[in-house]
Amino acid sequence: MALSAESDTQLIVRTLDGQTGAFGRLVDRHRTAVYSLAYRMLGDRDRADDAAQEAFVRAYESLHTFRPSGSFRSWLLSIASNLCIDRLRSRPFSAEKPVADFADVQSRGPDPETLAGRQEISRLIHRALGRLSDAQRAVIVLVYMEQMTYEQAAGILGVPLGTVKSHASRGRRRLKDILAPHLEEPT
Amino acid sequence: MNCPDVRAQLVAYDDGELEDAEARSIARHLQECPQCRRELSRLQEVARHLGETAAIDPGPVFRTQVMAAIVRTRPVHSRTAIQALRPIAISVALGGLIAASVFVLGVLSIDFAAWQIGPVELGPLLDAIGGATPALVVTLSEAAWPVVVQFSGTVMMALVVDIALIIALVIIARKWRQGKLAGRTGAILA
Repeated sequence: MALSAESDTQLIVRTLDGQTGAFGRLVDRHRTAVYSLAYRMLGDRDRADDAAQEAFVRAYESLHTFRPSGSFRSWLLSIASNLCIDRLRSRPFSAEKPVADFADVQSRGPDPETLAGRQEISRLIHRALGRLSDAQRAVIVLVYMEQMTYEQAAGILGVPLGTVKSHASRGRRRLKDILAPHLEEPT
Repeated sequence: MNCPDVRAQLVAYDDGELEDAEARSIARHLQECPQCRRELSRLQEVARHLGETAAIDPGPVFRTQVMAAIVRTRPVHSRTAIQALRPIAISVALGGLIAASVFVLGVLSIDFAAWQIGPVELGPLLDAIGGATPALVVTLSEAAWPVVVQFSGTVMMALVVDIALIIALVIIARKWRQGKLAGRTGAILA
């Protein structure tokens, strides 16, 4: 089987067999998801970088506890989100730098005008995320930005489904109020 | 349903998280209420913007940093070394408990009444083997010698049994661990 087609579980098995390079491939595969989650939860790039690296190190350390019946990505994001929540206890969210200042933003905008508009809304959303509670932000990031189901978010955060529903509802309504001046008027 | 009730449920409605009856009730309300439709539209726009927000790639150097952190803070083999030592430590602890219990049983089996019979001087014997001072002279009954032999024999036997038990426990622990790892690997590959 070609290396590029190796599944997460095959790479995990190889890592557990002592082939550390296989874990490097897992890092490459999931670095964007983990880093984006950390950036959105913590607010600035330096903290996100540190937290994302620590999340991967912790994952490596406890790789033998991973249950192959679940998704490795969810397991990894669970480690990362809990790590971020821990760090937010000692220092709150701080949007020090707007995300669009970075050259490696992966914009999906097809033209410069759309790109500029999306970068602007990204900046607004990033600042608005900082005005949510840590729990609301975690749910908003997982459900609406990482495209997870309520059940997956509940599993990752280790909270009841009802708590996720409540945070999703309050967080999204709060974002709607914050972003109201910038939203298009419904027809 | 009135507007406040509907608005409290709009996010769950839009996310498809409501029961059918609740969803139908809200849908009926939305058909009749332009304000709630406008509220739903804005919530949907927020969700759309959240979903379109670009992911951020930290770049390929991130992998190098992570792997360096793994090597720097947690040497690759330290985890397996600790895990390998764990069953041995458990076995030694169990062996110690067994040794203590056998030792106590051995002591209890000795007839201590024999120590009360006819003390004799060991001074001459100690003088012969190195010139003991009077302070080191020990009194011991003649009848106690068999007891000392019995006690020593019991302790020696206990040590032999314990060593055998510890070896057996280590072997069992290693086989159990190997079996467990093999089972996990098989489950992962299945």
